[in-house]
This record gives sequence, structure tokens and C-alpha cells, in this order.
Amino acid sequence: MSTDLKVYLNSLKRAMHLDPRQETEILREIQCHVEDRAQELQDQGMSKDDSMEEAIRSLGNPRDLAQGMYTSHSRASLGDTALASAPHIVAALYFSLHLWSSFVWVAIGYAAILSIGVWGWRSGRPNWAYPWVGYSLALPVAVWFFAFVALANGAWSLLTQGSTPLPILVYAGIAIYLPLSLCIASSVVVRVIRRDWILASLVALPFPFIGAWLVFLQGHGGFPAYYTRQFQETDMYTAMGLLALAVTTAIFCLMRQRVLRIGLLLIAIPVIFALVWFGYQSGASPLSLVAMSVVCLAFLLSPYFLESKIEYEDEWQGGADTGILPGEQADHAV
Amino acid sequence: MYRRELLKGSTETLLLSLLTLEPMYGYQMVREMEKRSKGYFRFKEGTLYSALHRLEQDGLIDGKWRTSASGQHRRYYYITVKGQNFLESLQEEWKSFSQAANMIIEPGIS
Repeated sequence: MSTDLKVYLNSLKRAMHLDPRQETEILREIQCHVEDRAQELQDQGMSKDDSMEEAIRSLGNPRDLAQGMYTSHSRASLGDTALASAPHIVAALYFSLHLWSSFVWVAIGYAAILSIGVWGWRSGRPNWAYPWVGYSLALPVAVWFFAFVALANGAWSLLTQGSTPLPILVYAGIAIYLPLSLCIASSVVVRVIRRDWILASLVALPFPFIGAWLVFLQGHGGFPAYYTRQFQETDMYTAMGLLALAVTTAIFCLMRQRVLRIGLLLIAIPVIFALVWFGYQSGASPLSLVAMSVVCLAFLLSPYFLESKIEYEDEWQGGADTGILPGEQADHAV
Repeated sequence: MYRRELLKGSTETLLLSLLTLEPMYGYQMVREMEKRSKGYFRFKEGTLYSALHRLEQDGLIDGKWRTSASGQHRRYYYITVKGQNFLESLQEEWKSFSQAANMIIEPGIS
């Protein structure tokens, strides 16, 4: 395969943001098209290099082609849309029924979410799987919060009183858990960003909400105090926020234009987040609400900035000469 | 410009009509379209594939990798039953439209 064609196809690959299997099919097809066109031009007397250049030029800008392909392949069925919204609805139910305070219910819910998330991840990562992956990561990330709080308290106690409030084994467990879970979570996030940073934002949707909820709890005496006092009210705001995430996710799935999807997430989510925070802290100033929205926006945009730092390992090397066809064997002659 | 707009509005009809003749691959469709229209229809090649994939996603055509008689691997497109039914409705609409347009553009003829 010529270098020009390789450069073109890799530009196309990077801009498509589709399922890797779909991308492979499309790249193979475009490669065949360019080679056919170049061959025809060579048969008409054009040089090999010029014919390839002309064949590539006639396809147009790879970004335009990629955008067209994204739009063509981004239609979600109603079933997929419902499936993508479902984990937010489940989480909202957990808050509206206060089930989060029951270890058994949390364990059952998390096992179900993790199972569906892993199943979706291993079955070609359809778009509906990403919100499930997000909630699968939410619990380990929430545990980081408690782990850091425990570490900070332990360090402070050790310095001031010469002893730790928890057994040393707990701190040893935290020391193992933190790097291990961080490694798994970052590996998942990097893979999602490689496909499309906006999907990583979709994965990250519940994080600001759960984070804000945990910070609010910690600021009001932690779990025991919260559990006995005011959980009814804050749980209602959290549940409403998560329901709003479900609606936003459904609209996201039904939209086909990438730019509209990006606009939706970057506008709707910070607004919902600020409203939920206002529900928690009814006396919050407009400035603090704006600050919370900006923090949420920066968090959702972080995959975009990370994308440019992540190296692509899977450069398209061409497939026309391999004789192996994607999807099925070439056993029919036309 | 006007021709481009006309082509844009007729892309689905033209592609589906071509595929009723025989299964074809993308480049073959570009050539066939040009040949049959005596050079009138020239598809912008990049947009052809977006249109084909959209039709496939809508279930109107089906794409399959096959080996051609010359031994080359190509992705051939086949019109589906749903596509044939859709094409019939498009053709009916097209006939009604062109008859109505002709009655206004060329009143003497009709």
C-alpha cells in the first residue's frame, strides 16, 4: 500500500470514532476503491504516483468522509437507547428508594451493573454499553474517596497521637487497592478515549454527581450522621439529577451528528449538575453554582485533552493483500 | 449547483435503482452511474460511501464481502426486499412529481 494511501486511511480512521470492526470494514472498502481508481488511471497512461494521488484526491477530505460515516453509523435503535439510559434510571431508583444505604442492595445492584458493563465491553462495545461501564467504575472510584479520607485521617492521627484509628492491615489493603484499581480504571478510560473522547465523557457522566454527593455527605458529618438526618431531601435531588442524565443519554443516542452530541453533553450536564448542587445547598451563591458548572465542564472535557496525549497503537496497515475478509470468508464468486 | 441539488435529492433512488440491475461494489456504481447517464451523474466519491452505509443501516441494502471473478475482494451491495419496496414508492413519487413538473415546465407537450 502506498504511503499516501496509508496516511489518508489513518486520517480517516482517527476521525471516524466508530466501532473498530466497522472501521476495519470501511477502511478496507475505501482502500479497494482507491486502488481500483488508481489502476484505472494507470491503464489510461498516468504514472503510479500520480494515479494514486488523483484517486485519493477524488475521495475528498478524510474528515468529511469520516463525518458522513459517523452520521450513517450512529443511529441507535429505541432498544439501544433505552438500554443506554437504564443504568441512570437504576441509580436514580437507588436514591429515590434510599436503597444505597443497604449494603445488600448496593452489592446486588453493583453486581448487575458490573455484569452488564463487562458483557457490553466484551461484546464489541456498542454505544449502549458505555453508561454501564461508567457505573461499573463509579463504585471503585467512590471507594478511592473513602480510601483517601482514611489515609489522610490515619496520617494525621499518626503524626498527632502516634497511632492510627484503623488497624494497619486496612492501610495495607488500601495501599494495594489504590494502584491496582487505578491501573484497571485508567486502562478502561484510555481504551474508551482511543475510540472517541465523547464516549469517555459519556462514561464519566455520573462521576461529578456521585463525587458532589460524597463531598456533601463528608461535609455534613459523613455517612452515619447523614443517614439519620437529611437523606430524604438530598436523595430526591440526586435521583432527579440521575433521571436528567438518563434523558440526556437517550437524546445523545438518538442524535446522529457528532457536533450536536458534544454540544448536548457540554451544555446540559453542567446545568443539571449546578441544579442538583443548588438542591443540596439551597443557599449556594450564583458564583459558586457557576464555579461548580465550570468544574463539571472541565471534567467532561478532560477526555478531549487526554486524547491528544494518547498514542494510537493500531495504525491501519491495509488489508487488501491479506486475503482475509472482515465479517465473512470470501467464498462466493460474483 | 442546481444539478448537484437535484442529485442530492435523488441519491437514494439512483443507488437503489442501480442495485436492482445487479449487486455492485462502490467503485463499480460510480462508473455505472456515469456510463448509464452518459456522464450526467458524477458522484462525489466520498459521499457515495456515506450514502451506501446509510442505506445499509436503514436495511434497504446489504453489503457483503465477495471475491470477484478476477479474484479481487470487494464489498458488494445487494438491494433487500425492504429496499425494493421503498424503491417502488420512490419511483411512484418520482413519476407523479415529474409529470406534475412537466405540466408546468412544458405545458404544450402534455
